[in-house]
Amino acid sequence: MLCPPKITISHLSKRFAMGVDVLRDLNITIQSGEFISFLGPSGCGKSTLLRLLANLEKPTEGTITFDNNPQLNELAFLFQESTLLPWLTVSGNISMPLRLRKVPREERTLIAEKLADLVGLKHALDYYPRQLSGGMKMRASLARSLSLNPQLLLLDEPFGALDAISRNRLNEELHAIHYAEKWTAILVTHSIQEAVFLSDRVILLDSQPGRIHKIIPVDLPDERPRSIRESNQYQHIVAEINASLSEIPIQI
Amino acid sequence: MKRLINGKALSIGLPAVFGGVFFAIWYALRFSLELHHYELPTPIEILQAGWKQRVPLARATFTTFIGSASGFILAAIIGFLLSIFLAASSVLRRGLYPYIICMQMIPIIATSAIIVLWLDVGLVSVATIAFFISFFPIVANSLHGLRSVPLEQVELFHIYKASRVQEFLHLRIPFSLPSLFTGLKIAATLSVIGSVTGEIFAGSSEGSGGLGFMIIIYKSKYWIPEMFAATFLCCLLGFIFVGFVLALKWLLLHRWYDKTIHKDA
Repeated sequence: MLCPPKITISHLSKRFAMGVDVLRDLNITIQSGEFISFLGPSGCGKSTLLRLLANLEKPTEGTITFDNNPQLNELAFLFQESTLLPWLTVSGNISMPLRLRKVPREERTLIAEKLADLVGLKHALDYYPRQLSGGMKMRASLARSLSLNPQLLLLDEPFGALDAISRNRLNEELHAIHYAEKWTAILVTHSIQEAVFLSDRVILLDSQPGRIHKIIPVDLPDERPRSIRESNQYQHIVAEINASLSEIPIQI
Repeated sequence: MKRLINGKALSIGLPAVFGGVFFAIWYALRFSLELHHYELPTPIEILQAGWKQRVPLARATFTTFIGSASGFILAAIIGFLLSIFLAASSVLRRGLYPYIICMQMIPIIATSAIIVLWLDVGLVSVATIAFFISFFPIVANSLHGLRSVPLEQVELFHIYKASRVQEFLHLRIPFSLPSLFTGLKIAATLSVIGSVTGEIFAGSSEGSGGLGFMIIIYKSKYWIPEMFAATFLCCLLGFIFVGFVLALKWLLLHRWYDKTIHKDA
């Protein structure tokens, strides 16, 4: 059984061509099984950080180490768009990563059914993406990202394009799955409410270059029902983050 | 529903109206200018002439069909395979693609003369000419499709540690299919044009010439209505080819294809 990674980010900087500093000297340790959210103004390097963690970009300076799981065999990435393959059904999309690993068809089908059930899409296994709503597409995408039993889940504003009701519902489902599975998760979002509901800690980033502005622990119970959004504690943390975010200068 | 019916009625009704106007102008020109049947035959005269010549015309249509289909199928297979290699290798793409474009710049009449010189008259020359003219739109369109896959989907495959072969098999090739069919649709009409052009140069192979060859024969005999009939059969053959491509596209893509996703195709 693989253990969710503890991630150590040391002196991480990223500079793009033309000398644009996106991230500068980022230092943070993310504990095994922790759910972390990054919040900050547009252009503060949140998405770049996720891409660095996924090895889609190389850092200019600094290191990222995955302490408990040096190979980091399985990581999953949830993009802003669902990135479903339009020629495959929901079942085919969910099991695509398994197909790439040459898992036998019967086993793939069973896993796809189980994951579709987990995200409430069992009835839509034979649907094509064009037949799905935005929320259903993201559910299918979430199920696909869980198919390889990932130890690290990277989420880049996955629910940003959804309406408030679908977004809240998907947050609740994602929280329930994380509560049960306890992989390490890193979310990039613009929604303070979403970050507070899902996370153990919220990290606020300054913009251009992206640096840690403040780390705010989310002192809420591990199990979070829908009603927690009405609690004073939740509202207090949301207000605190809101106030902290307003301190960050925005460059337009 | 009402909108759909209106749409369908318009798509059938409007061409019918414009066709009627076209035929009316045709007849008006013929009779108002007092033209002879060998200058501008009426549609009825063309039909009658075509019926009288039905056996040689049917044989010629079949010959043209074989030439066009051979060139088209060859172009589809070689063109698609080449586009995969071009998409996979930037060295090949940068080195070879300019020459493929240059090849397309040479007028088909000039190419036909050279091909007939090298391959002699007959079906092989005709199919080769049809291949040359159909080849480029297939390569250009499928290459565009293979290279237009959204970056996020490619990155997702990298995250899943897909091999290069898997990336092509499971992502790039399926994504490129709508673009490939756009190329095939253009190539379908071009293959008939290429075949007929080729037959004008190389169609007389032991008396089994295609429609291009028949057009030359009828012209030399001054059988103008028959010449028009052969020309209309070329057009009909083009429609059949395009219809075949559209049917194949529907068969393979209708379940998932969404025009709003593949804006270019």
